[in-house]
Amino acid sequence: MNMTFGHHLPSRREALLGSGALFAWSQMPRLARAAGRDPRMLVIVLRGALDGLGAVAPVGDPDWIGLRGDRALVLDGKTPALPLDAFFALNPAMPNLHRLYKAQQACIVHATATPYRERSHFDGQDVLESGIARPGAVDTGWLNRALLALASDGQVDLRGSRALGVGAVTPLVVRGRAPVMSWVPQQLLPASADTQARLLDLYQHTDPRLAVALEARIRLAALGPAGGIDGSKSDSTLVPAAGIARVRTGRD
Amino acid sequence: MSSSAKAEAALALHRFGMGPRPGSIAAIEADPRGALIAELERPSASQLAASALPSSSKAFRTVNEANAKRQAKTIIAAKAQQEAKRQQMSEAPSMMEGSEQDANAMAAKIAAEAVPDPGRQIYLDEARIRTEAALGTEIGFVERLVWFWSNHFCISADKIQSMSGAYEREAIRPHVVGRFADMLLAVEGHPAMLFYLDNLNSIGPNSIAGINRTRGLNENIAREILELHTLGVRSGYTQDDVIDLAKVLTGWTLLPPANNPEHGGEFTFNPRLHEPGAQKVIGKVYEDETVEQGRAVLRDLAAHPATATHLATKLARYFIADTPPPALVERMAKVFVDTSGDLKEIAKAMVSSDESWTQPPTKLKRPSEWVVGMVRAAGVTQADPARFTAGQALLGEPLWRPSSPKGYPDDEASWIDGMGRRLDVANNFAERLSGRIDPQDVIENVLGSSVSPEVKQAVGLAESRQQALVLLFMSTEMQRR
Repeated sequence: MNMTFGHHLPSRREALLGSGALFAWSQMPRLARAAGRDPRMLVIVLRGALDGLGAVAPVGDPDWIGLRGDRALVLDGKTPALPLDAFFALNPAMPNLHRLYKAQQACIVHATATPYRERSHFDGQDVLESGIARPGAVDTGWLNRALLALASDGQVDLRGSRALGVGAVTPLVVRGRAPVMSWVPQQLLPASADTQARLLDLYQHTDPRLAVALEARIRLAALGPAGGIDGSKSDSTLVPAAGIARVRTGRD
Repeated sequence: MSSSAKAEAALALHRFGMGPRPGSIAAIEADPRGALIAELERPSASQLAASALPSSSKAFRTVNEANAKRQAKTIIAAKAQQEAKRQQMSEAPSMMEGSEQDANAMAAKIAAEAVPDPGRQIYLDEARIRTEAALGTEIGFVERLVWFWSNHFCISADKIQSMSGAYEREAIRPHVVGRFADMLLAVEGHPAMLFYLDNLNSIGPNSIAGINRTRGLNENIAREILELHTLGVRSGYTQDDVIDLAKVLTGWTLLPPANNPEHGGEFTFNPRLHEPGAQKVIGKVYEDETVEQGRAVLRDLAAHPATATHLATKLARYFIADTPPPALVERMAKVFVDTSGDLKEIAKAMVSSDESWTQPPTKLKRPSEWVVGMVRAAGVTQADPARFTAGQALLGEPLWRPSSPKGYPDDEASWIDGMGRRLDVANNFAERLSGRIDPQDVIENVLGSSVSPEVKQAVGLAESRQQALVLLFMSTEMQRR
């Protein structure tokens, strides 16, 4: 997958935090849980663009090379494409997706688009995340609205349910009335629990919206290992995994 | 002085400036609106004393030169590695370990150490002078305008680090109280923007170069000019307008740095890349086939009523409220049209409108504005740029690095989830300060009557100076305006 941003080549993790958006949705549909299925839902929105035919090529089409030209992915090239079935093949830069596909754990929905037909990158993104065909029509995302709908149907366990956005800016797809927590790796020593409690108290008396935001963060921090995410400076990649894992199960 | 005058002075500093610092409320309380306008009138208020910093083209050449040297070092080091390996193999073939890749990685490491990237230091030097301008200014209305326009016409240091600071000094600052058309021409003709939005790769299909090569038109800059920089999205332009504007701008490029130690990296118009013939943009035909063709289109876009509305809305949202009063936006748009985009007059119209003062102070500051406000309130005027830019990155607003040409968002919904990180930053800052700063002094001498009784009480009851400062810096009074 080509995730190049100019001359800066971010790590996959930086790419996810910086320019994409990652959401773990830990609402637990009771049916799913009853059936013993993993209750996590993870949505990753990759900003920017990906050439679908450069990722998944119809190598079995006799016109493929003729129409695509020199850049066509082929099965017998210098870096051969990875066959998916008799017709399609995957870009060789995606071996993990290939492995999952072969294990029947991945599905590719090819040549599919939102109804948006104009050329604005930002409006296109807006439609994708709002789930509404007209750009700029609403300030909420489909994931957040889905959460509310599920909650009102009693299909989710509201205890411990939460949507989690990863990244410093809250993306449209999770915005809305259902509470959202956003998260980035802890890099500074957090304020003490006492300071947090006093600030929360102050906000509750002066600024309810800030109180809600701070409260979400305090709850999120409580999910980290050992009751907090202190000391994560030295190992900022492990802590989040643990925190998110707990969000997932809600069993602790 | 009455308490309402003090309150208006505090509002002026938060809403239109960089936030109060010691003594600043007293300095402007006699006439806050007049003080804002006086700042707009001060000659070269938007300029920095940056004579020690390189121009954008100089910075670009410096980085380019270092990259070339590093590449040469890599090749030499790779050869040395291969030679050593051959030696090793002939002496003890069984010791043969590691792949060619390891050798290449080692060579790259050796070269990177021998020729470090000068771009990072240039970026930090630029960050320092910009941050200290925000910390040192009396009110900071003009600096806020610089921040607004720099974000409106953003580029990204992730793509063009060397020029990121110089771009703001060269294309934005000279025009923030000048004419919008001049800023637009300076921005779209600036090497940093042409590089950022891929115009260097855009070739007129029927130009000399286009016929001889297979590469073609790149629409990026044309699309962003119409969608983001001038008219605004969904304002009526079509895909054909985008294509024709892209053709108009073919040939707007920069001098390659490799063979031009004097002028490499500067803007140039290269007729060989330029699409011949007249082009039609928003219903008007532009015959001229030189660089003037593009300048004429940009001047017309700058004067378009849709541009006036787009920019008035965005300015009012930035300064006043996420949903600005429609009457204010209309008035600012009208001034834009009436004065042919005189940005000083538009700023004056904004601060002279009562709506700008009666709107409740509920707008959440963006992270960088809040950080600067906090540091100013502490009376600190110098910045460690590495620490400062790291803090901005932590808060999701890394300096000159927005993730898209749209720039950073300016609404509460985008930022409010970051309050926890603001708390961490405030905690860290207060920890470093608490020996030197008395929270009561900050309340009395800096923030004055704008601090609510609840905050005063929380500060008074805090168990340490650090905690008191954190509560003060995190208070609604510091977060919103």
